[in-house]
Parts: sequence; C-alpha cells; structure tokens
Amino acid sequence: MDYFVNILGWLGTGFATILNPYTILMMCFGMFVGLLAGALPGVTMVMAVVLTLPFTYGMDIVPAIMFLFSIYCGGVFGGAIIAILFNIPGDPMNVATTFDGHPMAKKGQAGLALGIAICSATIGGFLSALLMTFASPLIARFALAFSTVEYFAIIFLGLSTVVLLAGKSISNSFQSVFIGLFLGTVGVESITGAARFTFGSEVLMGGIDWVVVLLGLFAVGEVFEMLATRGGYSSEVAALKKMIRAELPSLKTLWGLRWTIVRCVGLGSFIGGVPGAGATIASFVGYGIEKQVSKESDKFGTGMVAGVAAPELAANASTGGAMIPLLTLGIPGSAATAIMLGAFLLHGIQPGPQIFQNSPKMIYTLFSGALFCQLILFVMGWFTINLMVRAMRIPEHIMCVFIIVFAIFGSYALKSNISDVWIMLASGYVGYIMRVYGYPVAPLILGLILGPLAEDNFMTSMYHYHNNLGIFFTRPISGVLMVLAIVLIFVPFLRKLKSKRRLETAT
Amino acid sequence: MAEKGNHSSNLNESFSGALLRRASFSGSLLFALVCLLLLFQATKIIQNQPEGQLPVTTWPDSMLIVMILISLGKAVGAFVTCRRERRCPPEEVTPSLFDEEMAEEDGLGILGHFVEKEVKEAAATKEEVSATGVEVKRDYKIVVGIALVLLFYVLLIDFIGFALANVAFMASFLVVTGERKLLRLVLIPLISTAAFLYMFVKVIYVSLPLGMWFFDEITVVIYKLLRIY
Repeated sequence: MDYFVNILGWLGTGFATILNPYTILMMCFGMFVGLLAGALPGVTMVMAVVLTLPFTYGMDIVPAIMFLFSIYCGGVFGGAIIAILFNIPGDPMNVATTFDGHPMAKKGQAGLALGIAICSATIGGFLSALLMTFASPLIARFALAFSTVEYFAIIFLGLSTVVLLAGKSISNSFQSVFIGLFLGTVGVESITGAARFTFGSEVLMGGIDWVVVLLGLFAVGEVFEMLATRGGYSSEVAALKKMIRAELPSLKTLWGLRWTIVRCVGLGSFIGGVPGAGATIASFVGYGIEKQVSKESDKFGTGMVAGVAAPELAANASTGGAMIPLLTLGIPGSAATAIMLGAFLLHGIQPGPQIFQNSPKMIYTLFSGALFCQLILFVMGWFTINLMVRAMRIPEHIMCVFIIVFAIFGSYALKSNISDVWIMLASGYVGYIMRVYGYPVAPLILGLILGPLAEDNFMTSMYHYHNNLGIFFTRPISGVLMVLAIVLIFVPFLRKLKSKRRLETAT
Repeated sequence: MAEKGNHSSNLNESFSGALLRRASFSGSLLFALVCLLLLFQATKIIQNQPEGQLPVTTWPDSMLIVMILISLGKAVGAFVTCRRERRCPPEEVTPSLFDEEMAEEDGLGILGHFVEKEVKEAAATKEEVSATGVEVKRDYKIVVGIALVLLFYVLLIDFIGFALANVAFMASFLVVTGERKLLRLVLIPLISTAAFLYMFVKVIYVSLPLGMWFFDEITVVIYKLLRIY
C-alpha cells in the first residue's frame, strides 16, 4: 500500500513539473508531427522520431523525451484515420485497423469508427502508461541486483527475440543482427584502447554512431522505397470533399468493450516490452485474439466495433510496455525507444535501475508526462482528422525531398562533421539494398546499439570469472534467460523442419 | 525480375525463384569473403589487454566467424535448391533448409503465428488485400537517379557550402522525381533552404560548412540577407 501511495506522491510532483507551457507546447508539437507521420503513407513513426532528434539537442531532458514520446504515441495512432477512411494503412501497424475500420466507414459509420479508434488509442495508451508507472519501480528494484552476467543474458535474450520476430527469413535476420554487432565493434575499444577496424581513418576511431545509421536506414532508405514503389491513390483522397467528424461512442458501447480493453491492453503492453516486437505485431495479435474469443467471430472483417478497438488498444498499449525495458534496464527493444535512449545519453543520463534512486523526480515527471500525453492524443486526434486527410494531398516527391534534407542536416548537426553525412548516406544505400533483398533492418540497428553493451558485459564477466563460459548458465537468473534465448533461436529451425516435412509428404 | 514465387505464399517478394537463389548464392559467397578479409585484418590489431583478459578481438572475431558460417550455409542452401530445380518441375521442389522462402510465411513473426488464420480471413473479406499481400514493383531508374543526385550533393557541400548545395540539390531532386512545374522548382528549394538555414544556424546553433574559394563569401552574403549573421 505504501508503495502505491509513494508513487502517487511522486506522480503529483511530476504533474506539477510537467504542466508548464513550454513542455505542453513541445508535447502538442510532437503529437502533431507524430499524427502526421502516422497518417502519411511511407512516412513512418520511427522516421519522424529520428528526424526530429536533432531538435531536442538544445532542449532540457524532460521536454526532449516528452517531445519524442509524443511523436511515438501520435505516430502509432496517426495511421488509423487514413486506414479507416481510405483503406490505406499509413503505417504497417494500422493494417489491422483497416480490416473492420474501413468496412464500417463504407457502411456510413466512418465517424463512429474514428471515434472508437481515438477512444481505444487513448485508453490503451493511458492504461499502459499507468502500468509502466507502477511496474517500472518494482522491476528496477529487482534489476539493481543484476551483475554483468545477468545483463549479458538479458541482452542476449533481447537480440534473439529481435532475430525471431524481425522478418520473414531467419537466416537474413541473423545476418542482419551480426552485421550490426560487428559494426558496433568499429572504433577504439573502451577497456584497452585498441583501435579496431578503423583502417587508419580518424572518422572511424570514434565508432559508428547509430543515430546516423538510423537516419540513413529509416529516412534515406525509406525515401528510395517510397519513390520506387509510388502508386496513385490521390484520386480517392481528392474525391473526399466533405468534412469528417468523429463521433463519441456511447458509454454502453465502451462498457461492452471492457473485456476487449483488458485483454488487448495486457497483451499490447507485454508485446511492447518484448524486444523486436512492437505496435505492428501487437495490433495484429490483438485483432486476432479478439476474433478468436468473440462470440461473433465470423462477423469480423465486416465492420465490427471490437475489430476497430482491439488493434488500436493493443498498438497504443505497446508504447508504455516498450518504455519499461528502456527505463528499468537501459535496454531499448525497438528503433523508437533506441532513439529515446539516444536522447537520454545526449543529456548525459544513462537509463537503468539506478535512475529510480538517483533522479526519481525526473523519472516520475516522465511518467506523468506519458499519462498526460494520452489526453493530448485524444484532443489532437479528434480535431486534426480533416487536416490529416488534406495532408494526404501533398505530392510524395515533395515530401521526400524534405525528409532527405532533414536527414542530411540532422546527421551533420550531431557532431558538425561531414563524415557523419557520408556514413548516413552509405547506410541509406545499404539499407535500401537490404530491403530489396529481404534483409530486415531492425536487427541491424539493435545489434549496433546493444553490441557494445553486450561486449562490455561479456568481457567484464569473463574477466571476473576467469574466462569460464559456464558462468552464464550456472547463475540462476542468467541461466534461465540464456536457455530461453537458445530455445528461441532454435524454434524457427524446428518449425522449418516441420513445414519441410509437411511439404515433402504433400508432394 | 518480378516473377511470382513458385512454391511459397510469400507475397511480398519481388525477387523470387531461381533469380533470387542465384543472387543469394553469389551474394553470400561475396559476403563470406569480405568477412574473411576482415578476420585477417583483425589479426593486425595491436593488443595490450591486461593479464587474464580475453584478447580485444574475441568479440568481433566471433561475430565474423558466425557471419561466415551463415553465409556459407545460405550459399549451400541456394545451390542445392537450384540443382533440385533443374532436375524436376518447380512445383515439386522442396527447398533446402537454409533457403529463403521456407521461412515465416506471413512476415508477422512467431507471435503472429497464433493469429495467422484470423488475420488472413479478415484480409480476405476485404476486396483488396493490403500490406501483407501486395506484390511490390520497383522503379529502379528513379532510385539510381536520386542516389546519384544525393552523392553529388554531399560531395559539393564542402566546396560550395550548405546553402548553395542545398538549393541545387532540392531542385535537381524534384526534377529527377518528375516535378515539371517551374514555380515549384524555384520556390520550394529557395524558401525551404532559407527556413532550414535559419532554423539550424540561428536557432540550434549548428555551424554549417560555408564553402571554399569565393563560395564562402557568397554564403556569408546569403546569411546576412537572411539576418542570420
């Protein structure tokens, strides 16, 4: 009980800090950018977060993180508007929303579908932010006892789930994660100062900055893809002349969805916390589970209210879940949270269990901000629907030129160094080639970010335990995590073997 | 290039079938070779770790070795499937264990597997299948065009400064991507470059390259016009 009262007390202080005009303005601005990025097909939420990172250099830590978090929340929801109205998912995470959202719009219930989507997004985001607030301190307290051995095991498990969840081909995901891990070793090694794979270049001495790589992969690479595959849908968007207004669902409708809310928020928060899984997987799983348990399962796909609510609840619940490993362990599980880690590090703060003891005020301010952010999501989501629809008329190539210029300026602004722009460009080209050949880029990024962390923890553990690899398996927590990770790595191979056998018996 | 996959339900594949496997075979071998060269490079790294500490190359070496093993596995997989394809019609081929198309069928990963049926059903009830089910056709000419324009842009930055290079880049990017309206071609680069310069130099205090020779003077004049200096 004391635990809850204590947290509520801190939250009160947090709200007092967060409710200042500058922070609220930054959150509203972030929310707008996020909603826009979510709504514009091709412009992803991750792209928006990484492109706006340079603007946070000059901000204080709380407005900076809240700005990025608002983009994150707005980006997860933004695509739903377009998904419902035009059957175009603005982001992959809104595909499941089109299943029942668009049929509802076709039945003339576009306003209600939008209202349900906005309410679900807000409820999902709010409940998961609440979960994050109350669960994080507990996890952090637990994590304080972790040594380098446990940290290595956690990172190892994280990387294996990333590989498992990232893409269609397991071997490609593996390659991708190892390329990232290898690139993470470029530069001066932290313990002994040995220069590794720098080829005499001064630029590579400092290592490869992953923010720059992220900019390349998610801005330049995506622009190439957007322009190479652009198709015409503007006619449908242009045809929509009348103003759309969202309808608030009745309390009875919302009460009818209470178990959907419980299921999808729980599921979404959990999936958000799993490295490699995020809003996209959460939305599909949320939709699928809802269809499985529903009494009117066969009506899904024809415009069911629960079919719109479920993916939105789960996707937005994943935002709070994804913040938990970042804040409590300092380990990001997705590109969006990785960028937030970048923002923390730029301000000289290393997230992890210690920050709950060292800077509780800041952390609870962030929690209050995350809760308040959902209110902004509701208000701005409600009133910007028509603006988002109009924004769809911006020609793609004009949008693309701005994205590229932002990426160039952003990578330059990091260290005022032109070589970062070259690295950014190279990662953009490589990222595009990877995409064409079906190599997922998320494992590469997480490999690059978590690689140096993994190496540090691995080498230190080895040093302390006289190079005995068995230590990772004999300590209870790390043992369980390592075994779980190894099982996870072999799951796809077993599944492959099974489907291979199935294919062979079929022929 | 965009022939349909023959024995898989991978709808998102644009390169498929024999072509993909040939690319996968040679690409994997090439990749393994690069890793091997890096492994050789690692032997030249000067090591001065304290007593009892593993060599500093332990970690990168292990990464490189795993990458080489995976690449070789992929090359062998692609080779074996190619051989099988030559012997019997494609429908009857069972791809080898390491082959691309045997992997996750829906791109949703393991978690998605639990709800695969529901998602597919829902997608099928709609008239058009989105995201998981659109065959991607890519226009590579435009990609090469933009890639070249970008390359020249970054090359030029040091010589003529960010301001001029950016205007030139934005205009040529728009031309390459099919913009033909003169007003847009002139106004978009000019106005947005001015806005970008103001934002980065004046608001965020990033000092952007001014350029060499007489270009730095031009850039300074531009800055003065924009009241940045």
